[in-house]
Amino acid sequence: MPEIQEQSLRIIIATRQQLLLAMGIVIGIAALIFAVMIPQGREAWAEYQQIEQERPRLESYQNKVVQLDNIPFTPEYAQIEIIEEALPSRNPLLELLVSLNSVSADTDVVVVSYDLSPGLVATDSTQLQQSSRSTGYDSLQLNLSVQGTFNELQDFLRRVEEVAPFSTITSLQLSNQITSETGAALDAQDQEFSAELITETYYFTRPITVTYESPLPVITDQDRTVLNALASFVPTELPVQNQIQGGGLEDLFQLRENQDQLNPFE
Amino acid sequence: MARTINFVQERQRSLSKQEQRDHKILRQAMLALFVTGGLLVVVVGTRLGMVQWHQSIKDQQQAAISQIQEREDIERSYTVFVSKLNVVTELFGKRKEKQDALEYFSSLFDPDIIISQLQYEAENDVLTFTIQAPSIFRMEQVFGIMQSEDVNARYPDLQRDTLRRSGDGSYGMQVTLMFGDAQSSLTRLEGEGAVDENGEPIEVEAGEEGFEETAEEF
Repeated sequence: MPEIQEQSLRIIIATRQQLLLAMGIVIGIAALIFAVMIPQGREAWAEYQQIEQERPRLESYQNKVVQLDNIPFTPEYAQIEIIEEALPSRNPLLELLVSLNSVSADTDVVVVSYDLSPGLVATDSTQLQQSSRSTGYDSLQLNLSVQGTFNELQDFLRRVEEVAPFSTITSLQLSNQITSETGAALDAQDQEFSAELITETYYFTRPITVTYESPLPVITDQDRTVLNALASFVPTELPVQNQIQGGGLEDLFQLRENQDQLNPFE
Repeated sequence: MARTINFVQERQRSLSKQEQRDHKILRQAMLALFVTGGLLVVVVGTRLGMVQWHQSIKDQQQAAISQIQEREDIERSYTVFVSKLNVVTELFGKRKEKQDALEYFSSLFDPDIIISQLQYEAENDVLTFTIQAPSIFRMEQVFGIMQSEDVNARYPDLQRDTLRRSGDGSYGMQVTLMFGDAQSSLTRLEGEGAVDENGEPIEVEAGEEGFEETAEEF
């Protein structure tokens, strides 16, 4: 029986070679489709999907490069110093004191005393609490006690809010009129008042996260208006100290001089 | 007449027909193979093209990132600049409302009526100040001005809270103004019904109309 089957197979192969070849081709085509074409098609589609995702990213990168190239030539960026003075990146205590000093000198208001609110020397927990606030800025609170005529005080209050660093008066207590030392009646314009003020001066120490693809922030018309208004602010002229002033290395604490003064007869 | 039976001829004819059919099938299979081969070339070519395109995009991205890194200083200073500008704009807007209000109320009265106390909460946008008048008659004039249409139109949510008399006979009236967000948040609080930490509803006291005299000041 197997011999008969083998013979039949040989006859079929001999007589239907072309059909068998066609069947082989069809099987080959199917194998090509399933083993090569479909996976390759899927790969190509996956690549296309990735390209579609990557292209906007590339465009954003390229746009950012163009924007970064143009930034130094924008009129707003030229005013960066103004913003730096109005909202410094560090605690602006010295600048504030210098500004207050100049304002008080200009307005003839006497600053009787000032003190800082707690928080400047703060514990870690306080600092943590500060940094977790919802506002995007930090503030320095200064309590002031000032004296002057009503007009002088009004002028002082107005001008305090026009100096850099950016400050605002958050509390004011105007006390009763101060009578003259002789007890003589003063004119209404010469009557002196004392005022307790709390000013808040703002500064910016918050971290900013930027990614390569994140677009550059946009300056709105409102920002431009504020920028123009800030240009009229009185900047702080804080002298930069580059060398030790006074004293000296030989007699750093001026001990000899003091001793001479204490013992003039020796 | 004897009938001729030729099986070989019949068999050859049927084999020939079968061969023709098989040849036709083979030709169709070959055609399908060519088409499939062509498609395969197209698919593989497309895939290779995509890979190359993708690589080119990645290279361009890398080049752009390098350019951005080269301009890192500008980006840093510009981003900080705009962030600061936004903060200043926000503070400026809040402070402007306060300044406008104080300027407005200062200009309303004669020089002997002054703003003697001020409390400003920048975060909540609430301004509280005290208008001080030297006598009750002058204070009466202040009442009249404060109830005028101009003041009501400009500050409809103005609250007059307390009237105090000082030892020197002067009178002080506390005024509370809420700007922008503070006003809307209070309205929202009243509308939605706020709850405290225990989930109990908080009773929100709206600003009292009229005046309350504090006896201890007399």
